[in-house]
Amino acid sequence: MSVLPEGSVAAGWSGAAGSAGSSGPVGSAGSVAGRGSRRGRRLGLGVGQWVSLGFLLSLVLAAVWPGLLAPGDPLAIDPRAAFVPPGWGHPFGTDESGRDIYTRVVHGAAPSLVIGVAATAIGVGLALVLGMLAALAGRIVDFAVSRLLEVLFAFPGLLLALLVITVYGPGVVTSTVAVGLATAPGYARIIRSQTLSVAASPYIEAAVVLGKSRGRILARHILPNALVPVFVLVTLGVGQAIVWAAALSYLGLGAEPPAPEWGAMLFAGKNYVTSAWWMTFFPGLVIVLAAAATTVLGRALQKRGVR
Amino acid sequence: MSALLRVEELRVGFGRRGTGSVVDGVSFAVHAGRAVAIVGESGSGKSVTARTLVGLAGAGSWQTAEALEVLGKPAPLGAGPSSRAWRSIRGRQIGLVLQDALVSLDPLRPIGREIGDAIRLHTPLSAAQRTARVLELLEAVGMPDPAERIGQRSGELSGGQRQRALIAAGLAADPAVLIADEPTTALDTTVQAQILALFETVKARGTGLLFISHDLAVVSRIADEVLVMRAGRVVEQGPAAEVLGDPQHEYTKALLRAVPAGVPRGRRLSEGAGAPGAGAQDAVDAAAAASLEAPLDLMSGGSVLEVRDVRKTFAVRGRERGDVRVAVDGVSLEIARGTTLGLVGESGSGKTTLARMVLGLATPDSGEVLLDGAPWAPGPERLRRARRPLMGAVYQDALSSFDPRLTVGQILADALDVPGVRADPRDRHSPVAEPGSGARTYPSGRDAAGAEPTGANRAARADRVTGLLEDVGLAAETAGMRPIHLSGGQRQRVAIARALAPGPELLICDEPVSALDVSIQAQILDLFDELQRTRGLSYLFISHDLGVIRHMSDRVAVMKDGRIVEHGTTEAVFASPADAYTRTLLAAVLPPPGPARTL
Amino acid sequence: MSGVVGARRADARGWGPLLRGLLLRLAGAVFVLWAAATLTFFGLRLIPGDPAQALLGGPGSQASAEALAQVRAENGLDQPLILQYLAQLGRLATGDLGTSYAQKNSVLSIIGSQIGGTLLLAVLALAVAWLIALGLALWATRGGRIAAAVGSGLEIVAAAVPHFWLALVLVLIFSTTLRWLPAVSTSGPAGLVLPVLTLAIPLAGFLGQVIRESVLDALAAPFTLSARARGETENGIRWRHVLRHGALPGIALSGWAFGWLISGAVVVETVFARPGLGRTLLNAVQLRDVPLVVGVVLVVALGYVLVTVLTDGASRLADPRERAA
Repeated sequence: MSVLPEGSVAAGWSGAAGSAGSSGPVGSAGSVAGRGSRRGRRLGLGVGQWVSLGFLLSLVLAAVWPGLLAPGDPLAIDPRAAFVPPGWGHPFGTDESGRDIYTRVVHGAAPSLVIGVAATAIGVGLALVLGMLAALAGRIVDFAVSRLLEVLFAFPGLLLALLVITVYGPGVVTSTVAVGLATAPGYARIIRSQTLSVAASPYIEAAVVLGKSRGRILARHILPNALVPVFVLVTLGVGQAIVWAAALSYLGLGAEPPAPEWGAMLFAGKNYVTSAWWMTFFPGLVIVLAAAATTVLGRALQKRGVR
Repeated sequence: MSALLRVEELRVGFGRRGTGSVVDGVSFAVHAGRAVAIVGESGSGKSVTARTLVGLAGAGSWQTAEALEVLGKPAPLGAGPSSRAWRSIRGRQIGLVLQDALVSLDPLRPIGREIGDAIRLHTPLSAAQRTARVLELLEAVGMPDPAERIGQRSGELSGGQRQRALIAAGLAADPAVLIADEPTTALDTTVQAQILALFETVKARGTGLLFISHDLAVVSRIADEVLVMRAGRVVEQGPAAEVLGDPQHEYTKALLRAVPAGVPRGRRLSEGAGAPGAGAQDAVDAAAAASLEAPLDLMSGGSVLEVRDVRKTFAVRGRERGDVRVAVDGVSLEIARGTTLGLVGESGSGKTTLARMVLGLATPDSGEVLLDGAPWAPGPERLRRARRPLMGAVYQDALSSFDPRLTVGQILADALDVPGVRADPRDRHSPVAEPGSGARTYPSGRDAAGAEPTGANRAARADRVTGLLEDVGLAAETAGMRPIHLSGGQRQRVAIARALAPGPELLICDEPVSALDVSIQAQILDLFDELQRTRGLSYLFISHDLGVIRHMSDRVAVMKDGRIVEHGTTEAVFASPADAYTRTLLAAVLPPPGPARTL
Repeated sequence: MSGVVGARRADARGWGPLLRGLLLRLAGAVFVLWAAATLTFFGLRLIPGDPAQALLGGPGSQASAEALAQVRAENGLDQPLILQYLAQLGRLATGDLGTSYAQKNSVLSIIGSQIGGTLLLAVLALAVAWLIALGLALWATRGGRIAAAVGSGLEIVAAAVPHFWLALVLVLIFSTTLRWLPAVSTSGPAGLVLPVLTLAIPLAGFLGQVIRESVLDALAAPFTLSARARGETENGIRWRHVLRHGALPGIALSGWAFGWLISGAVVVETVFARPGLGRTLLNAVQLRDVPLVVGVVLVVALGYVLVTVLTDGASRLADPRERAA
């Protein structure tokens, strides 16, 4: 699934691509300067970006050392304390078996982040191969890969993931792979067009004029510059991958309860939405914040990348 | 006669009121049928001045003035940019025409709508009456086929047509004053002449003109009064003939001197770093004259570059299959060693395609290019690579020719690190280095076996980078900076240093000074000249600017529609052009401003 | 005025390439559909197990060898793969999507009965998303840092919100607390409000980000300065110039938005217990009802391809610069 509207990411990079193409006998310095100053104001980390970074770092801490933030056992059952609403002792409340939601959310960070990162790695990894091949391996390969991408785009959003799950059955691994596979075409398209625009840029021609070999130009100029936006893609993508993996879990196709994974917790709380809203509200809130934080940071990186 | 527009002690700045001023005490008056020109280089505050007069100085700006009167009434200087008071002045009392009409007209709207907007906003005319008026206006600005153009969008028009449409939009509500901000900057010479003629008719009809330009020749043609601005201040102001004919201020003099048109070849355009003043100029001239003879020896080496009947066509997209556009049509050229061939032509004439074929970046359909008498192109890149160090390139847009990740030092080290780099290119041509010429022997970055550089010669590499920077007049510290943080002139110097690094014999320079201010352009042209003298370089110098071409070239080729229409010594081509197109081109060139010069 | 003239111009030069472009797109669309069908056909052969077994109710059904053989013969499963593939293509070309394993009913008729509700949901959500996104983008670029920060913050959060959680929050507010709207989708218009909002808000976040970016570009463009210098009002600048430039990238995203809405419908229809294509698809995936999954996926692919061809035409109409490309 293309979790990101490619337009939005591509639009951000068009600035870099656009400035590469020279214009007319005299460059229109005015418009370039105007654009630069608008971008310029957004450089540097703002409050929102610091908050996002802090939140993500605490998520990583929760994933690496959950006991530090929540010393309890996420699987400990306490039937007397079932369905306790949020309050002292249980800040996020408890579930139908009396398990502490806060503890479960903290301990759920590791599996959820791993799923998000793994899915993104699968998607971006595949996309790197496809996108770079299309851009650099000649016209026939480009034609074939581009057609393949077009066809994959015809299975939009969750559909490709659902197809994969139909074939291999539900489960954590399948849903992670499914999200990864489904995101690959979108990433591949962005990587292909970025690589093409780098390969066609004047500084590559300048390197040819200097007599550099094709391999050297590829290694020293094309790859590093084409890979810059991949960092942005990964940052933006992890949050969205977490959301989509959670959606699959929520639909009962991913991780299964009682595992303390955020999507599985949502699935478990599904039947108590009106009576015990906190069972789904808090895991969902963490997902929203994680996705928003990665978006904020990804966009900041993106703005920085536009030179 | 009272002024249509009167400004006194205008100050504009960005930031807290009273700080960060970019316009500092500008005063002038525009009268009916007269033209005031503000001339200056980028960052001089001329455009901000123009925009402030219609209340559009920009977000976060402050403005003060002792007086700002439009048609005798005070302008609402403190009012917000979108206030009703300003809106009734804009378009109706003061029209504004911006540069580069491709982006100054909404690309999604037909020009008829854009022009009609001003009429709709300021008059009660009906839609049908507006259309009639727009057609009249298009007719008046000399737009061909107004009835057809009215429905077209800016992208479908040529550069000259777009500028005409923009002027029509500025005149639509019949303002008393028209402000034109660099209205001819992006245009070809012949089109520029037509647009200036249009402004003259506008002036003759009684409209007051405020003309903003960096181009002294343009200003001298149209202006009655001239203000020379530098860093927000007016350094000189007065009747055009006086300011341009007998400049008093040093800056005005330097600006006028920097214009290459009519300056003999080899004479410096900029103040030398260690040689200011008129006396030093004579010394430089003498040295230049002496050195001009030096390349003559080298010419015995024959042609460094020979282009034989090359032709290049491109398939035209969206048309019938097999439809092609001929970009370069049977061009032959020859450059004698140590000399400059100037290639001049307007946009679309095929100059750049020819340059790309010479550089081996585009493959000619037929014909061939010889470098040093040996076949160069067409052929596989693999065969060219070993001889690449013989030929360098300098482009118009230096910034985009640098890898954005690299520092200046890395860019230059990269350029030095190619096989076949000659330790000192001057060895071959000048066995005895002149003591004062700054000749330097670079330690070689590679040993004879061509091994990868080791830690020991990393320092040697750094020395060579510093040497290159020095040769193009940049400080050694520049090596640590990224090109994005350099000025336009500095970037072009880095580009030249990179081209010099492999020790080339020939540089292909494609509009290398077109994006630069005139004083910076002068410095870069002087640098090219100096490098040619000290290194015996040959240039293929491409420009649309006849003044630059004349100043730089030994021989000139005039290109039009992919063909060389005229080819000869600079003297012959400029003095007695044989071709009709060359004559048109020369006729369109404005006489250089300033104290009388021989064109 | 120029409308008439403009139309004549388009006739002379504009429509030719436009039509040719559309025809090319249509040919591409047919290719994509063929490839999608081929990919799913061969992709599903990767399923471990015997399709005949699945037809008879899965491995647990203890079907007899004769029954299996009979099912194979009936469904052509005893034929070579290539013949099965060609037969499948032939059936697809005539609109025959096969029979659902689980519902024992024609896939086409199942989809036919479910697609209406989903399309209504998607179209309403798209319209609402556009309204929110345009409104937010125009408001956030009105000037002032606070509006800009609030606008971009809202967009980012909206785009990050998963459907299932948004649905929960909306239900808690509007059904459980305020009791204004039903928590479970009913047939009336009131039952549509929450599903449409759930589907529209995240989409509005994405569209808003893209639109705001291009609105800012348009506001900083020299043609806006030109328009101001003519005496144009702020509203005039927004309506006559900026809005169109802002909408263009949003239109280009429509194909993506379509996929997003259908995926969202899977979740939203499940949460609100609303009949539709999404819930049918989810049930089919859970039951591994291959013909039904493939049928729905191919119908969605067809929809996606149609939407892309249409938006391509729309952006060519709206932007003359696209026509040359």
